[in-house]
Amino acid sequence: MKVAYWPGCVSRGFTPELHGSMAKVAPLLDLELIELDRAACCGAGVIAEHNQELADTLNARTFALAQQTDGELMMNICSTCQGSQSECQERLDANGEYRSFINQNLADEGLAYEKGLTNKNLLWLLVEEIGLDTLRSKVKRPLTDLKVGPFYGCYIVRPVTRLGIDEEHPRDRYMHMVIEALGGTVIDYAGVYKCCGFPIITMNKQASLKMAGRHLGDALDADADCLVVPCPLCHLNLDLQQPLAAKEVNRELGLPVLHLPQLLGLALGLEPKELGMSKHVVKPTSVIDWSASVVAGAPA
Amino acid sequence: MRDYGLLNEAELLPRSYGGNSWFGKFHPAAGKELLSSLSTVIIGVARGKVSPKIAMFGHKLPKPDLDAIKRIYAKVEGRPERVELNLYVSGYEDEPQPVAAGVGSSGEGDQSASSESEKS
Repeated sequence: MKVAYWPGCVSRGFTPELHGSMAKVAPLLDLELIELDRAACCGAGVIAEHNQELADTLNARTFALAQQTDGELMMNICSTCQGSQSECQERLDANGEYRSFINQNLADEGLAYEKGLTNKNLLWLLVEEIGLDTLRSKVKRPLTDLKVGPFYGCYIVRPVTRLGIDEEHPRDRYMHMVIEALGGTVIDYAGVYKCCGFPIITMNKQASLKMAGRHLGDALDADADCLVVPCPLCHLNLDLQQPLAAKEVNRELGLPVLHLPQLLGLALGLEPKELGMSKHVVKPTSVIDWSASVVAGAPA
Repeated sequence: MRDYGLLNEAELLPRSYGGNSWFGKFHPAAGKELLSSLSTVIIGVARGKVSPKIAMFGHKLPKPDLDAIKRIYAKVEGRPERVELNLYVSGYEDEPQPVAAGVGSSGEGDQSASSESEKS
């Protein structure tokens, strides 16, 4: 399957292991990625608050670039991008006059967004396009006995109507379903659907770190070996900032946090180092130990 | 975003405290905040998670695309009035209720009808 691939900004900035692991995992999932390397930041919802027309224009430009490719749909690996792009697309698709108005801002580049682009986060694409049965059939190293806590964050689960979450598409359960399809054990804990704290880190660092620390502590108390996130901004707060978060909540943490493609890669047979796990601030020792014991235990 | 076309995480904190330019990081208020994050930055750089080049100078879109983004900013932000489409709040607020006889009123609460500027 060929997709117009939007990696977002952070996966090419402070979480390069996300972009790198997606590139490694894609061929194993029969995904051909056409990278949208001319597209701009989605605005993360912040630009839309400041100036809606600006955010809608920037995202319409990204959508138009995606529509110029021969990808079947657009795929992203950042739930913040998914949330903010869905918000802009909802307006662009709802009103033809408004869409034409926005497209005028793109005219000097010869671009125009046409209503009806399908833009899916990797998580949604895994379940809805690839399918859990196919995913199961590709697993080479089942995540048996690996206890994984899903951390959805905000942008991929709220608001439910805009994000197309309903009985037919229980997208707020997809991470649970994927972990199980990969053979892992899902750990439910208090922070599964809570905010990681990143959006307020520049305004109130202490509160932001406390939020991250509390979720990590809750997952540890529930006996998780690691968390998995569909959002690199959540990863920044939960992994990069984890040493500071530990100080805020006054306890030892040391819980590895994996990007979704990294968890997939482990189950599809890739090694932790290939998936960039050595770049994490919190060394994913429990995951690497698990990986080593599975490989050691495998029949020769 | 206007300067790079992409989000530069390293600029979020200094620009929030030291002003919206690359030089914001040299502002004393930003310096204090950066100092409190120094341990995080050092670990990130040591692990290869954060490249010093990207941390200092950011990552940018190719020049023609960055120029296009700057033109979009100039055009949209140069408009005298914001254009917005609100899908959730539309129409007009209720007309002010007539004031009951005998009740003193100075006209407070006589709000003008307002609407979200909806382009439809």
